[in-house]
Amino acid sequence: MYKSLVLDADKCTSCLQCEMACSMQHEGMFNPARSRIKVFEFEHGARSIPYTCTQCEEAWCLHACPTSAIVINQCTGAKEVINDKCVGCKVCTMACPYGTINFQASSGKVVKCDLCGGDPQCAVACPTGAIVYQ
Amino acid sequence: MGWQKQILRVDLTNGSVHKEPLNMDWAQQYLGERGLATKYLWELMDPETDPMSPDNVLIFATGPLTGTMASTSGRYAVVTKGPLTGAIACSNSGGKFGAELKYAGYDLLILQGKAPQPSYLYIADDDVQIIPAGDLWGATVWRTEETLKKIHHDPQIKVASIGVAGEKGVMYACVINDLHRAAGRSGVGTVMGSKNLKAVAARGTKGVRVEDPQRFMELVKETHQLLKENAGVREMTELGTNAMIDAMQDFGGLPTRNFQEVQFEGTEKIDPAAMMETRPNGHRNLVTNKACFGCTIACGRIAHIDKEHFTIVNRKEYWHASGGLEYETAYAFGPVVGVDDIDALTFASFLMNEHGMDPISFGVTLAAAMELYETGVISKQDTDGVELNFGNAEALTVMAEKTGKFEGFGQVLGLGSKRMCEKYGHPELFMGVKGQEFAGYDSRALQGMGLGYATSNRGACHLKHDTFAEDMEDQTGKGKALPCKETQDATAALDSTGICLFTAGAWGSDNLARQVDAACEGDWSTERFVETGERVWTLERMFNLKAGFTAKDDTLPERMLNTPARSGTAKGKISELDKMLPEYYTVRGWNQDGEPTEQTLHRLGL
Amino acid sequence: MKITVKAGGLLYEYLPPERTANRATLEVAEAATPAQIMRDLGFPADASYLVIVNGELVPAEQRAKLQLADGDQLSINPPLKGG
Repeated sequence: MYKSLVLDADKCTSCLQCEMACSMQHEGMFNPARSRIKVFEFEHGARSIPYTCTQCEEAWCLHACPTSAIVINQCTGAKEVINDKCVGCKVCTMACPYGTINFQASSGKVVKCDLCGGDPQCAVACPTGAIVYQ
Repeated sequence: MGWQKQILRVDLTNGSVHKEPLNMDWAQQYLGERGLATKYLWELMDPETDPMSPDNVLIFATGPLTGTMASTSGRYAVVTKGPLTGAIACSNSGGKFGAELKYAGYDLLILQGKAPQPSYLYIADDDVQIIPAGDLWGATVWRTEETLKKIHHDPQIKVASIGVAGEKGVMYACVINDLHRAAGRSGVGTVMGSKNLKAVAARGTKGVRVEDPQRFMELVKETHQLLKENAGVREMTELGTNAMIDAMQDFGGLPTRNFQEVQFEGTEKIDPAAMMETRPNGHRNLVTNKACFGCTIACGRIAHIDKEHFTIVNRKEYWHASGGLEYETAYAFGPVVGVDDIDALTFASFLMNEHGMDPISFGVTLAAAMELYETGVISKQDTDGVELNFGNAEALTVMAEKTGKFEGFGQVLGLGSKRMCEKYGHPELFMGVKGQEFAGYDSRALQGMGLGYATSNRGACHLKHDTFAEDMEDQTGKGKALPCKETQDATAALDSTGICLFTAGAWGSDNLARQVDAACEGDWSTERFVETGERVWTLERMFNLKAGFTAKDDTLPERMLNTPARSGTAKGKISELDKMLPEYYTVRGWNQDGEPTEQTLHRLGL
Repeated sequence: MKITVKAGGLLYEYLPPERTANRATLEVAEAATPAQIMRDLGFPADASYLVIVNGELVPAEQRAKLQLADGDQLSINPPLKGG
């Protein structure tokens, strides 16, 4: 069994440390707009819900990709985008039922959660245990 | 780095928008946020300017750590000349707006002039537009935010706006961002209204880079841990800032009924335990706690009001959760007006956010009006038929709404306590300094707090110094001047980073300086960092001196100086400001007229 | 002798299980001091507290000297801070 990111909305305070950690890991800067994990807020902040790729067993993004740019990392089970192969056609973004693989205009490629190779930085950064990798 | 090295200058009069490089010499001297905005204000306007005139300058300023993983990095400051005080105003706020403005690529947003028609500013990275506000003028803060997200088809937009209170000139209108976070004090929202500016809507996708990412991330780990292990921080997370109310009650420093008393019999009905209690009908005031951007403390409270309560029983639009009681709101709607109905307090809190008003100034002004009413100076004929007795929960919520909408007696309350008390011939009932009302700490029980109130550059304020430790140990004026001065400087430095003051219990200036050093170019030692704070403080003082303030204004109301506290640990005591103030001027390197000496100015490079 | 203790903020966690909310009545030795009682209850020694006995402030250096009497009210709060 692979480990997965367990998201507990009841513990989330919407501090966005996860979004900053994610963008630092993948983009080398603090930039929530480019984070692979997002926190959504409802009712004036009464509910905060972290949300990212579930690494579906039957990954539609992977099957939809015409260039086979999405592969399974055998160590983590993460579905990863191989940048050199991605042509930015966005078919995967349409295939994904959760909207967690997204086109990034600045690079012309799609981005998604890759579990940081087995040490997801969002979980490391979360101060409340709302994101746990287990 | 740390800085975006770009500022946005908007002249609302002629609609021009300029992106300019940040003056890096100033950034190296004043860091960011509060400090850097003060420097720009000093350079851009005459301190004698009428705060309500188009010549007043309104600055939204982020700091070099804003938008980084440094905990609590969501802060931005609004700096201008305050209409409530006539002094420099510096109100900072959390939420998510500040980080978003910085992600759009700007350290500072400088607003000058006055728009020919009500407008809002839309900032999406490089795309900056001044757009007519249309129907939004006259809308609440909450509707404004919701509408702007819809108009621009982007739920991720962050909005800072004013309510009707700011449009119509309530003297203590706030700028509210993210529905319930406020740049609250001194009427910074009033200035925004005077410029015909309803809102700033920001969307930023550029990110923030730091100079040395590896070292910065090591420091992030270390400083997050310091917060996590700190007992005071844990208390803020679990109980919120209102944990203070029980201690202040025991201590006898809890201003009650316009500071006539220092302890309040109803404290236990409005404290954190009351917020967390499940009632027989299943209602619980507190819903959850909530963080501002980047904050690992999460002291914010989200609460809701009992649907059966008289305030909202027929008003479904308030049946949702929103920003709940913090210590200052609990004080300002509780003890100081004598009310102990937690639902009424929570509703008043909602109204402040919805209409964009400072709860402290409103509550203390209402308290003075209640004293005027109980002593027969004003009557029901003045108050739209409302019985304005201390303890009347309905009077609290009705007047909060009237003031927010600028209706009836609300227009008088909107003057602030000083102007209102003068209007009715009783200036001695104004409880504050330099026109700004006191926070929830009594100067007779907390001597250092009294000195801090008297010398704060924005008028009475509890957030610009920290002598709590000294005040807890000794209730005389002895030994308060130096810690007051030192913490004023340290706080001014902290306020110039983009970090929240609530880290101060766990982080010293050294922790902050190291994070700044890793994020920014330039060698930021702790000494240099703290000296930056002293420079900021002194420049604020220079602004006020040029605006016409003198040492005579560094004082407290007669009630603090001559009427002994009636109960509590300070029973029989008065403020010893007369002993503390001369010593304070000396440790500051100022003359006894409260003016920095040439030598001090030279030392600070001013 | 018996004294009553009130512990503010999260300090109630140091009171014995039979506490009511943040208050407890304790049986203590004759002439016990606030410092002894706080030590026995397990209050961390390196932290700062606001200590009040019968409405009077007890500064840190007095806490090991002041002898309590039967029926005294001891209030222990976390340090005051801004907010």
